[in-house]
Amino acid sequence: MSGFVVRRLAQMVIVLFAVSVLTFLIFNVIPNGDPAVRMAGKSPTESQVEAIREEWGFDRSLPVQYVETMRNVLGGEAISYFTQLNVRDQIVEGIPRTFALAAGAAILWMLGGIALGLLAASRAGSKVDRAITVVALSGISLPAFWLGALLNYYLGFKLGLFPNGGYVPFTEDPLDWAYHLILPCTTLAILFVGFYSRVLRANLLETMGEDYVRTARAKGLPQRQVMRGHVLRNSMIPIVTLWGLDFGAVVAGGAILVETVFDIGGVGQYAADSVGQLDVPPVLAVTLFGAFFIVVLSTVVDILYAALDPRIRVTG
Amino acid sequence: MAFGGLFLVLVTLAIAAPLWENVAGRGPDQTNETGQIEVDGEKVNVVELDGTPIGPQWGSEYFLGADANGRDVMVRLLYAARSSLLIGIVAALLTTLLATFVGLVAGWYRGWIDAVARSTLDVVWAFPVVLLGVALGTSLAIGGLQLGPVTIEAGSRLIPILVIAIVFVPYMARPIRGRVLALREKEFVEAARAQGAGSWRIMASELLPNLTSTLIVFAPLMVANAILLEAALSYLGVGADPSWGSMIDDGLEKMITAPHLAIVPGLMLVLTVLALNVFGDGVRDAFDPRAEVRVGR
Repeated sequence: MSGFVVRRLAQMVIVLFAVSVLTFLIFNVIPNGDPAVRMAGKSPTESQVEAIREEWGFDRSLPVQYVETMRNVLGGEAISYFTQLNVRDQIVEGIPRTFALAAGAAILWMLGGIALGLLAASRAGSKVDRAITVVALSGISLPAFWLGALLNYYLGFKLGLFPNGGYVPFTEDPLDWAYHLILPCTTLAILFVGFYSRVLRANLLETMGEDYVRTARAKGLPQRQVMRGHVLRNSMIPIVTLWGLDFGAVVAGGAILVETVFDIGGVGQYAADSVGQLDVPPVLAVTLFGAFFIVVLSTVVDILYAALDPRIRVTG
Repeated sequence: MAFGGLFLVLVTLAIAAPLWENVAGRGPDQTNETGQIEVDGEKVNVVELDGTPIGPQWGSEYFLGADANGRDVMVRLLYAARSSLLIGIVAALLTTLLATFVGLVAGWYRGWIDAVARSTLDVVWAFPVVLLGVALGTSLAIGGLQLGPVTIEAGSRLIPILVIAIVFVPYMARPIRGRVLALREKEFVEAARAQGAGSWRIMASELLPNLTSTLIVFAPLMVANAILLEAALSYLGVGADPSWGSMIDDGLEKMITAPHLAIVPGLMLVLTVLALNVFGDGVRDAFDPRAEVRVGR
């Protein structure tokens, strides 16, 4: 078992290293990607560009630049090429915003998924079940930015029921903080709730056919108790796994569009802004931040599975 | 099935875009900021002095009105359908090809080939999808790409196609690899090997046919998600234009005076993706009801 864990952790480090090299290359090998020219502003002289190149070290070889940039990123000293702001400070400011959005949405989509999944499974084949299927499929068919923009415009701007985007820190005003998060969290949750209800419905229907459920019924347990204690509990395991992975993916960049539409100012929005300017240090830092969450969570899930099921350790 | 039909109607509309261009008398990118058209015998500005574009005319010209630059929304909508569907379908096909190849080779050879393939998939997987798309899109949209004899011009539709195709490969390659790992232990593979069939022969004529149901189940969902990602990329300005995403982006700026500019392309997008998802759901139930398929997000 410990060999498996070590192997998985080594893989994790390799993947993160590869992601950082790839990101660095994407932004450095491309044509017109010379940051010195873009930083020098409009119609710079050759000597100005040269000076910037020397000051920021763009004249050195790519591997040296990579090592230098990575040292700065990991040491928290990376500076944006364009805003000259410290990248770590920007990310640290964005983290609570992104987490609040992701956590709020994750709770909403989980609760909604359980409610809809239970309803659909308990009336499988009925009109209610089919209606829930359509709702679920509509949810995964919606573009986040469009839904978010429309909700923000009609409910926020036009009817004035909600604030028109923006974010208020929790420490400043907890009520206003929650108030600002309702629409963005709902938007994000709508995209996931359908999928969760479908997976839970399938799991519930499968579990309901198991022998131990029949036994529980035969013992004379009331329907409600069988559903809660036997069926739901066992159907939840795959959903909880999924939940962990999805939460990681949302923090890692799945919320970029929603953050941008509602002007949350989180890590995702910072990434979107920096990517548009080909600003390498922030993009590198945010990509690693995101990849870290995805890789760590999937590694944890793998290790947990391996702990539960010894067969995986051999083939993994 | 009704939704499969709806998708065919949308494809037909996209193909017919040049026909409507002839009826409307203007192309998708033809601006008309200062022009006038005749409405009920009166001359009316296509774009008012305060920037408000003309609303739907329900006739050949400006059927759905104009956008902020005086372009015909209906013509743009149909051409956008073309790019969205074209990019979505071609990208999904490319993903399928790549994923099938990677999944087959990794699952069949195992060992170090499998290790390399899996790490590569992990890297692509760990890369946040939208971020990778925007990163590649932005970097390629400026100067295009030159790889040996292949040159991709900036603004080419190949850019979003390649980006989307690569990003989705892990979602499909992983289940295919899993299937291959199970299939390679089956008796018919052993029989083929005993007859002296080589690796490629076994992959092509023994394993591939057995992957058909997996591929068919994935296909509609792949296209649906490719279209959604294309819309997100063009919304962020790194996809095709006109595309439903770029039209939504343009339209959101005129939300107060002309909300239909953002709503109509969004509805087209939702209808298309919903049609594919419902169709895909039916296909899954028919071919492989226990398959857990998920792409994107």
